Amino acid sequence: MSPRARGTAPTAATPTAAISALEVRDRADDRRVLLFTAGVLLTAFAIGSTLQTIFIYRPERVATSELIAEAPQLPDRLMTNLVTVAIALLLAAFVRLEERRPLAAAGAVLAIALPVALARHGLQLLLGIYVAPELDVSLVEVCSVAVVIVVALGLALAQVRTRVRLREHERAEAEHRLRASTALAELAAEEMRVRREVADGLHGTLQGRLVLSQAAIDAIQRRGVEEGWSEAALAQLAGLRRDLERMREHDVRELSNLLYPVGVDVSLDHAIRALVRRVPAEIDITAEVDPEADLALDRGDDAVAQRIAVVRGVEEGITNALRHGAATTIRVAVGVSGGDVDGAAAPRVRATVEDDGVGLPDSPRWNGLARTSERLGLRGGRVELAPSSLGGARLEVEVAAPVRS
Amino acid sequence: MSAEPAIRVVLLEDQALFRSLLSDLVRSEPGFELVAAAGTIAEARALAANAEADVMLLDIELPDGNGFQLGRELRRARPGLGVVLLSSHDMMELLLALPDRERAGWSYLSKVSSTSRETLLRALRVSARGASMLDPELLARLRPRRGSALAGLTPRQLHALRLLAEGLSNAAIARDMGISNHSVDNLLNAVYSTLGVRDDGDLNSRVAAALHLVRDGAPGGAGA
Repeated sequence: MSPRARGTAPTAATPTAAISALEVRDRADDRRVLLFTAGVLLTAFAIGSTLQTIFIYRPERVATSELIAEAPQLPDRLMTNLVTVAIALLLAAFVRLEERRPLAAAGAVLAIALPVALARHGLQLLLGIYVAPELDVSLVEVCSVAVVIVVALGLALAQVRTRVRLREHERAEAEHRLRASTALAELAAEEMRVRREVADGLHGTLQGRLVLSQAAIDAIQRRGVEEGWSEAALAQLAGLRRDLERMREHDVRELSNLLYPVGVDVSLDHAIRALVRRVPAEIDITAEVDPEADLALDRGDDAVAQRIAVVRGVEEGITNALRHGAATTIRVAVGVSGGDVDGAAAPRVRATVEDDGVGLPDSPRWNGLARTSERLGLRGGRVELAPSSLGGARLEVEVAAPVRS
Repeated sequence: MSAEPAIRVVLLEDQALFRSLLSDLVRSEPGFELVAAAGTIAEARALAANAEADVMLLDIELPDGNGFQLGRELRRARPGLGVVLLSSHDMMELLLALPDRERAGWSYLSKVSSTSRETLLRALRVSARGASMLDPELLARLRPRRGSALAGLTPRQLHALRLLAEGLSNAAIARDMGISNHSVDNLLNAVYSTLGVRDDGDLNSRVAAALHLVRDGAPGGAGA
């Protein structure tokens, strides 16, 4: 078992299989970097020292003819050096140098360097590159090669350590971002839950009580008629009943809708249709919702919040068209743009509200639109007001849909 | 005594008192059998999996989800199952979210309109046999939207369409309007023609015409 494998255990929060796969990949990556870096350095030394020994560095200057006479030794020298490199790399891989702690790694480097240097010199003697060399020549050969191996493996280990630190830093950053994003998503989900609960309470409990109160007033009215109460008293009761009816039918519904628009838990298509149906019958309004828009938003964890953002934008457009533009015709269209086939780029869900009203005022009142813009901005979206081909205004709202995972 | 088998009903309603009242109503009515009553989506899903039912009476907004979505899910497993949606407010446009081939057998009633015991039982019967019925009071409040095909109907045609959407047969429409069955046929054919609906196999023309009323009718009118 490797030193690192002994030192780490999968945490309870993370699947064992995922950790193992990641660790195996990391180890393979580290080993590749170590062997590649050490291999490049050692091979460069091997080739360089071979050429230098034969052509450049000599104890004393020799004639060109003698140099050429030495050249036949070139393959033997080169082979010796390359075999040395291979043995050093094999040993480094065998002892899993990159997985060891610094002190153990230093010891392992020395334990590799000295035997490999000795083996190289032995090979040189065997091949006749040196014939009965003096002790100091052998010592220089062995020591210099050992130093080269120590330096090469040391640099390669340093490279691996730097990469490991960088990788850990990147992963910590990614985990931090993930935690922040999860916390935000949980917060948004909690907000949605509370909104829905309050809206349900308004729809269910409060409306139910108002219905019962209306029924009670009906009973009192009937008794009043039977017992001949005064017209004024009966009219007062009728007025009270109308107020309750209005509260139930209009005020409670509007309040509930502000918290949690009708239909957003079903689909964007349904929520937009529900919104459009509330517009008075005198207004010619149609809505076209591309099914792809719902599919695009449904990929994320906060589809309901995204739908609410789009519905609020469309609602703002319709309200402005009626309140400020005196429009009689409104066209709502919701579609998807952008994104790519493999899902790497995020598509954008775009809703447009066009009307035939008086058009853009000289200084548009941006109070509502500013709020809409701010809300959409938090979701990577935007809002834009422009003239419409229908003669009035065109409001475009856009949110970024989640990228396909 | 009728030889017809009883209509088996599964009920889903989160308010305990209302659930109990509805359960008693279905149980006490000859020709109906309450096979299960649930208060949550999860409970209803589990009960419906083991109960043989003809129609489901579903509240829409529930603590753990949406009754409409549950209805769609159960209908995918049993296409012949009728669904009556019961909600505290007008959400009839939910039915527009259904694909054409799934629209038959869905009915919609409001809890806060003057829905009577008879209306509820009629909706259960209508949905159990694969037809549709919409809340008469909500329908009466709908006004044709300007610019829509619905606005092209005459008041008489619109009245006939409302009755059709209430789940009435042609004979019942004829009785209500005081005209012959043949005249009702002609009237409804004119309605279909104006709305541009036809029986295309996936979507019955009666259901399609009723949904036009939902799509192009704006709620909030004084009533008819």
